[in-house]
Amino acid sequence: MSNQSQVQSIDDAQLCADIDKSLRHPVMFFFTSGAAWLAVSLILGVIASAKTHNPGILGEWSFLQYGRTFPAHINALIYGWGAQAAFGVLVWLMARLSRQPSKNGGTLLVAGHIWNLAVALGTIGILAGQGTGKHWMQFPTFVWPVLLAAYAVIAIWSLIAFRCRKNEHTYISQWYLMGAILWFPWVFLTANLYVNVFDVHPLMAAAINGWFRHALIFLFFTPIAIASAYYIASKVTGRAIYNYSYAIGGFWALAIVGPWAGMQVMTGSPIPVFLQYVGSAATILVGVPMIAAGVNILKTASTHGDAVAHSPSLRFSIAGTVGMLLLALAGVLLKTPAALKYTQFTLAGYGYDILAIYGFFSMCMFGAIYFIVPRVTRREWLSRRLIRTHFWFSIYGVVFIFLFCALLGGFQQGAAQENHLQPWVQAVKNTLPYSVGMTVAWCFLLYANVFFFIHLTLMWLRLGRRSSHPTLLKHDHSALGPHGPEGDIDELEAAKV
Amino acid sequence: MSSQSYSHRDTPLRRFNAFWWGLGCFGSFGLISVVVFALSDRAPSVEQINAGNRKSAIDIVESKQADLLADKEVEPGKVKQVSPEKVFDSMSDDLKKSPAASAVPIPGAKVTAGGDPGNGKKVYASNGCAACHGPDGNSPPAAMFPALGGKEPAYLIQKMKDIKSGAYSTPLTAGMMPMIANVSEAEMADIAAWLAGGSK
Repeated sequence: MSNQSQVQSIDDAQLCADIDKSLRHPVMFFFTSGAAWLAVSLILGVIASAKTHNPGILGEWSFLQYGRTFPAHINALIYGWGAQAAFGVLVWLMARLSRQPSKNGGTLLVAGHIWNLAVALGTIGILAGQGTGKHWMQFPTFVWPVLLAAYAVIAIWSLIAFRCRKNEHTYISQWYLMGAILWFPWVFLTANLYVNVFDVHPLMAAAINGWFRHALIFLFFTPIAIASAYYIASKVTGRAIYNYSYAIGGFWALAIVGPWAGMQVMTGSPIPVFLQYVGSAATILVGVPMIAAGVNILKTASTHGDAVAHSPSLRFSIAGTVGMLLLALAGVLLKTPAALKYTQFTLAGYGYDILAIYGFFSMCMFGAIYFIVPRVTRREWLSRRLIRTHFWFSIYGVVFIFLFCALLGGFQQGAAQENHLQPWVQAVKNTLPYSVGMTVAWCFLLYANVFFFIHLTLMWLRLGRRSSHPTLLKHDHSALGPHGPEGDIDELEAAKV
Repeated sequence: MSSQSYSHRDTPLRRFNAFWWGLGCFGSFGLISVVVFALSDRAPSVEQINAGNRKSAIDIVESKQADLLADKEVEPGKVKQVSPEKVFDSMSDDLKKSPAASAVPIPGAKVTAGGDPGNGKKVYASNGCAACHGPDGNSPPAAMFPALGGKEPAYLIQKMKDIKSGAYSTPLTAGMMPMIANVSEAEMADIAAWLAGGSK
């Protein structure tokens, strides 16, 4: 190694450390408040799910009825957890890949607080009975412009960082992040204008609402999750992306197919028929970019099986990638016009959403968080056991929800609803075991994420291990303890003086 | 990282441009939506036209009612509202007629069976119905047998038919099968009329 390149790599490491330091508080704020909202959403999810099989549970207080807890649960999940985790990853990853330390940490923090305040007001509004009743837009209507303004203040700096990037090479993750930065305001603003502001026909407003939900998944959560999985897979294994052309092709396939998905939720209603079929076809075809990215990420990581097993970030990201492939499969199974007959009005749609948001997106975000947090706090994760608990209970919960409750329960419920010889109540009774199963699965996820939140909070308080040895999920028993020698950083800093 | 050429892009002008172009881009999505919405053909839908018609009909009715209930000057400086009875007087005779009988059944009204209660009483007694339902149909000897007096005739007839044909079958109806087997449909209507009429 020549002297010059050594100097350059030291400069580069210094630059990365500067970037991490400049973003410590905004990124940790997004992650920690996101994790708190995730816990809130899961508690509301447990209550809503329990209400479906035991309506009398928790009495008759109107704030905790199903009609309020369910929308509060799903909106807190999307805007409280999903969006904030995405912002943290977006801001940090774009800064790192563009080699641009953030000059706007304070602005990001203020916008983050405004975002949280708006989500809190919205959630309380829903619980107080002021929800709009429009799926994923249930926050009272004054909330969405605030969210959009806060988003603009959060995302604009990443756009500038990309425009002023210092590398010649444009990484695939940057493509996806730029896509997400520009698609979110398009989807969010257009859908909210048409549904909440303009006086459009209510039927068409419902169709636009269906488009909004799918566009939010495919054009915001999906690109951010793919960007983070690409980054983690190549960073942790130390290899380049398996095939860059496929990666770019996958991005453009997503950009072309993604915006058409969604209106199949109105199948059978008097909106133009082509919209329903185009929506169905696009939701299935989104599988193509997902498979392109998924196979690319798996091939990149495949030679380092031990890293997948031992690195928490890679393990979560690979689980999320598998979740993405399952989502592509679920699109084919659930969204074909023939299957919609059974799945349209059942648990299956909810299961698809949860697979997308938790099984795919959130798992990728957890992977990114396990990677980013030690770098921005300069502390290592405290406990392998907490990480393992988080991982396995997340897997149990989401597999349980999707495979058994949503997929099997959804089809069973759909078949029972279609059976005109049986009374309707029979269809409801048929889903009882699956409803109970959903509650159990939400409890798993809640258990996993309460510990994740505590772990993350301790890290933000900089109570992590002061060590240069990352916390790996290994079962070795050395005399030095499971995490390697402690106090390396202190020794290094002492040696410098 | 030897291919890096630092800073050639990172100029204040470029940052400034990126900031405003970025915000403009975010905002342009809203602008495009507004323009598209403003230019789109928005002929009112059938629902909207119907809603408008209903609204104008309500407006007419309300203004007429307001006219009829207008304040009246009984003596100079003293205004009194016209009482509703006066308003009723000034309505057209058409509105005051009592409604004609209608073929549409009124909810809650008793439907007559059309059978002969006197014959029903005889058939009831001669077929041993009283053994389980009591002599008046309303005093069964045990709680498991239903009281029948005052029930809807249509319901009673349908139940008797179903028990006779076997369509409705329980261990209790099995005991009733040999008795009901001798009762014709006309006699069922008579029994039902007697029971529904209070079984006197």
